[in-house]
Amino acid sequence: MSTASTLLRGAPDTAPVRDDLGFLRRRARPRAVAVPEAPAPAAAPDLPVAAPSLALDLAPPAGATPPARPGRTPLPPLLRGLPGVGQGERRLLSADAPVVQLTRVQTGVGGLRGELHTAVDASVVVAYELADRTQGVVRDSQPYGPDDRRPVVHLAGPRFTVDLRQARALRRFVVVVRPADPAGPAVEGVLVLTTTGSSRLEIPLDPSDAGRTGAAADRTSTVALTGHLVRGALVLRAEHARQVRPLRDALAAYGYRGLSWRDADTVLAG
Amino acid sequence: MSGLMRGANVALTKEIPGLRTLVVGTAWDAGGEHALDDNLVLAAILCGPDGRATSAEDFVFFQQVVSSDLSVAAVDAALGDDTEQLEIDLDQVPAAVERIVVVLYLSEGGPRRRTLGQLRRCVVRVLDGATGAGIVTSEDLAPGFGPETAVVLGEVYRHRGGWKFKVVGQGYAAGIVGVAEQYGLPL
Repeated sequence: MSTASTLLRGAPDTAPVRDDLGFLRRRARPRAVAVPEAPAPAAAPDLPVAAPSLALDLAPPAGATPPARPGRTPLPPLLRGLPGVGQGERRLLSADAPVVQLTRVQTGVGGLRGELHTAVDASVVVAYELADRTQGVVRDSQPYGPDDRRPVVHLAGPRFTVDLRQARALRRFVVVVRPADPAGPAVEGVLVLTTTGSSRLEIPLDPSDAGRTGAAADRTSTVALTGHLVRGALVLRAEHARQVRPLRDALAAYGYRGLSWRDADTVLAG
Repeated sequence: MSGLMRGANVALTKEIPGLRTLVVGTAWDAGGEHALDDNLVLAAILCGPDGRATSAEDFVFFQQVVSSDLSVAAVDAALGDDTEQLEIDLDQVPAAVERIVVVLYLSEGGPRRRTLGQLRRCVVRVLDGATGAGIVTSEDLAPGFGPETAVVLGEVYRHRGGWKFKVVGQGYAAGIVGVAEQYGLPL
């Protein structure tokens, strides 16, 4: 043990007051990274096998952590059984292998950048939930979330960036791709994610009807990606899900129900 | 007051034989540039005798607030004159760790680009964690910054059974990616 607690307990009552030690009495001890639960999508009937492993198991493996030092708590172990991605590695997030868990370093350094590559006219929508449970959406007409002073997520055409300096303020996000033509098919293309360490994750967007849900009269959205902060690490999952329904319902299916809507496809600007 | 210059070092445990806990802090003046202020990050890299990071788990920063051996921790709310601080429990540092590199970098995940050259002032200092007494403060490093977005502020390293601290002040135009490459830290 060190600093304030030892100092204050060990100081004799008769010791003179030290004006120069004021900061020590107010020193904040290090805290472990917040451990949010990993919420599963509310409607995900076609969840791949990897999904159950996202359930939290807070018990550290026996013998895996050093003895706790008073005032310092070992960080909880990351979820077991999820693949990582190496620096500079290129990985396809297919329906058979849709999940990647970043390290805490990859989760906190720089930005996570995404870009939609497609030959058709399409837009990217990113819904997010912050650690305080507030939710929001960034889209072409509202490209900064939650605000433009210090956005956690920002969008510029087909590109979006998650500011990982604010990873502790973020709980989760979902990326949706929508065709400009309401009557058009689902967007065909690739969503490419890049980490600061140049790891490249590619999510193919399949225009076929596989995984399609909803009424035929509605625009086809592709829920391309979800991200959850779990034990301080970002777990990314290619959803490969087609949602033939209004954006409001597509996002609600993933638990984004804290949004206000001007109409079924238009979020009320915050 | 002039401080310890780049390249200069001080024998910490020779000066203070009972030294057990160090606080390494940094203070900067971003001149009101919130995009600069908000995105500066103080971090530590635990390195082995080869000068390379011992593991990704031993990069200590806001998202990984304590090293796997619990010897180095980021302090949540730096107080006193510092903007950010790290705490190093010297007795707990594993023998395999030869030096602890203290880095200040700009996290470039936001839409606005900034550089360390915009800082008006930047110093690193070392305190005795048990008493709070200042041991050494660097010179103002900011005048030496330009387009860099990361800087190795200093190093705490083993020397003849004790510990020394050296002011480094080496900037990296490639930012934290350049620092990570230099020290073998996987990103």
